[in-house]
Amino acid sequence: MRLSQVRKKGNYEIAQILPSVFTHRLLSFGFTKGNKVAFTGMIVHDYHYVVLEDKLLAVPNAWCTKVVV
Amino acid sequence: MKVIAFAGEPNTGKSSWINKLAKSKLMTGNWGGVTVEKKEALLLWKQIELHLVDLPGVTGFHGQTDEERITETYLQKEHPDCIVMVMDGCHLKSSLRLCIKIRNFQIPMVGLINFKDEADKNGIHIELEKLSRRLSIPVMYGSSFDDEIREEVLDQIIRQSNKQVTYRPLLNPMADRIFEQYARFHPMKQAIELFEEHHADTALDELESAVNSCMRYCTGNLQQCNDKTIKMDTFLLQKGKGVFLCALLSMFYLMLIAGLKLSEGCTFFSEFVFRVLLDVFSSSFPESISLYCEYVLLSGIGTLFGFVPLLFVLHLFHAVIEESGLMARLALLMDHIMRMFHLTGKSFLSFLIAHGCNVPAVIHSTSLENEAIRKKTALLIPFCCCSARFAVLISFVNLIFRKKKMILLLIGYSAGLFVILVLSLCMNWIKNFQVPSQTIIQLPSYRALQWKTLFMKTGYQCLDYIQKIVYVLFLTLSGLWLLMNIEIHGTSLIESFSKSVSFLFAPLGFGKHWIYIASLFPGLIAKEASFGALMMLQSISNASLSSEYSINLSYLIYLMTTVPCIMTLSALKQRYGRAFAVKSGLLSLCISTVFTWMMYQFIILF
Repeated sequence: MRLSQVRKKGNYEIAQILPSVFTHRLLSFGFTKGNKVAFTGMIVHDYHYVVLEDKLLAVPNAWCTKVVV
Repeated sequence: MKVIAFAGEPNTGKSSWINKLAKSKLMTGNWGGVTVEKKEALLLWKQIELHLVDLPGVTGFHGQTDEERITETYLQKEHPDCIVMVMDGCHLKSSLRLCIKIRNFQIPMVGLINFKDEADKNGIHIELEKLSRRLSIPVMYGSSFDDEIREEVLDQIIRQSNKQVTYRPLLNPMADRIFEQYARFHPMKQAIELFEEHHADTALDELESAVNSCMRYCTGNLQQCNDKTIKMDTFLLQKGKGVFLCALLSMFYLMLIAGLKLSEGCTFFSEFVFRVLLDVFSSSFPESISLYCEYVLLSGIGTLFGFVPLLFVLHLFHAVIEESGLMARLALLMDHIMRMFHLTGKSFLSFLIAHGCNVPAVIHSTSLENEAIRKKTALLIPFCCCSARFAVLISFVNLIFRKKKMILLLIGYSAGLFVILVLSLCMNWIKNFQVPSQTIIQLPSYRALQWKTLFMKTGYQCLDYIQKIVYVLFLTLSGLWLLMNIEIHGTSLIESFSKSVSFLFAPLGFGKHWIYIASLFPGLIAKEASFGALMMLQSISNASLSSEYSINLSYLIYLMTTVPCIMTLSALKQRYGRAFAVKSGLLSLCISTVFTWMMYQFIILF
C-alpha cells in the first residue's frame, strides 16, 4: 500500500521507496526502508501529516505515492 | 584565530547558541530555515579569537538544496578547526543521523544537545558519557536559554579545535571487515566515500543501526514531545482552523489598535521631550543652529523617535508568531491558497518576514524551491508593508484623518498585499513562472514562549531602529534641510525640483502639494524618513498638508506601494544581480503609480 492511500491513524513501516525525482529529497528527510512512519490521521489540504521516527512532517500526497508501507 | 562551524538540522538552535556564546544578534526563530546563508560572529575567549560560523540547517548531504550545498562545500573546502554539532534533545534520533554523517568530514567535533529544559519536562534522560564514548566526540547537554554551561562549552571547543582526529565509521564487525579493505589503502575520508559508493545498501543499513545503537543511551518517552504538538495541530490545522486564523487576525487587529493609541501618545511625548531639551540648550546657540535644531531635531527626528513604541508592538507580534512555532503551520495552511495565485506556502513565509523588514525577506526568498519562484517572490516582496511603512501609515492616519481610522489603516496595510496577489496572477499571464511542486514541510514542536527571548529579540530590533535614526535618518533629514536652505530665484532647491516634477504626480492627486512630492525622495533611503521629512518641510515652509481626503489617501497608498528603500534594492542586487534590482525598482514604481491612479479615480467618485 502507498502512504498516500493510508487513511487510518497508526504506525506503518516503510517497505520501499520507489525511484523518482523526489527520492533524494525523501531520503534527505530520513525516509528509508525499515523506518517507522506514523500517520496522525490528519490530511491538511494535499498534505499527509506524519511522524517519521521523531520528526513531524507534512508530506505532499504526490510524494507519498513514492513511499510503499 | 580558531574557526568554529555550527552545524545541525534546521531549527535545532544553532543561531541561538552562537548568540549565547558570542553575545551576537543573529536572527532566530522556531521554524526551520531561519538561516539560509552562512553567518558569522566573533568572540575573544581566554585570549583566543574564535570565529563562529553559523551554517544553514541541513537534514543530509544530497546536494538537493542550496542549504545542503552551502554547508557541504564549507565543511569540505574551508575545513574549520572544529564543528559544533547542535542536536535537538527532544528529537535526538534524526540529529544523531546527521551527526554520524558529519563525523565523516574528519574534523574535530563537539556535540551540543540543545533544549534540555524541554527534554527534562518530557522525562527524557541521556547518558552523556556513554553517548560520547560511542560517537568518540565530547557531547554536552544544555539549553541556549541558560548560562550554566556557556564557559564549559567554550573550553571544550578550544580543547577539541587543537586536536587532530580520525573518526572511524560506526559499523558492525562484518561491515567493518569490508571497510578495513578500503581503510588499509586510503585515507579515512576517502575510504568512507569508497565504502558508501560500492556498498550503498550496507552503508545505509549501517547508518540506521549506528543511530539505533546511540539511541540506547537515550531513555524516556520520546514520543511525548510530539504528542502535545500533534494534539494542538489536530485542533489548529483541522477543526479549529477557522478559530486559529481568526485568533491571528484578532491579534493583528489588536496590534493596530495598540499602534494607533501609542502613536497618539508617543509622538506628543517625543516632541515634548525634544522641545524641553531644545529650550534648555539652544538658547545659547546662534540663530541658524537654533533653527536647524528646531526643524531637523524637533520636527523631523523627534517625530521619528515617536515610532519606537509602534515598532516594538509590531516586532513583538512577529516574535510571538516566530517563536511559538506557528510560522511553519501558516506556510502549510496558506500553501493551498497561495497556489491559486501561482505562489507557494514558502513564498507566504517570505511575505510574512517582509512585514517586519524587506531585507531578511529577500534573503529568505533565496531558499525557495526553484529559480522562477525565488525571482517572482523577490519581485513581489517590495510591495509588503514593512515595519517602517507600518509606522508611517499609523502616524499619517493619526495625524490627518479624524474618522474611520481603522478602515484607513486596513486599506493602507492591505494595499501591498492586494497588489502582490493581482500582480502574481498577471505575471503568470505574461510569462509562465513555473510554480514548484509541493515539498515536505517540517513542523517544529510548539514551544512555550520565553518572555526574556521575546523582549530581547524585540528590543534588539528597536535598538537597530534607534541606531538607524542616529546614523541614517539624521543625515538624511540634515541633507534635506540643506537643500531647503539653498535658494534659486528665491525658491529653495528642493521646492523648485519638486514643483518641476509635479506634473508626474498630478494624475495621482497630490501633484499640487510640493511637500508631498519632496517627502517621497528621503523615503528611498529609509521609509520612515518620508514622514519625518513631511513634518520637517511642513514646519519650515509655509506650505500646509492637504485637507482633502482623496489626496491624502492617494499619497498614503502611493507611499505604501512605491519603490522600496535602498537597503532592499541593495539586498536584491546582492542576491539576484544589478539588472534584477533595477527591474524590481522600475516595476514597483510603475505598479504603484498605476495602482494609486486607479484608487484615486475610484475615491474621487464618492
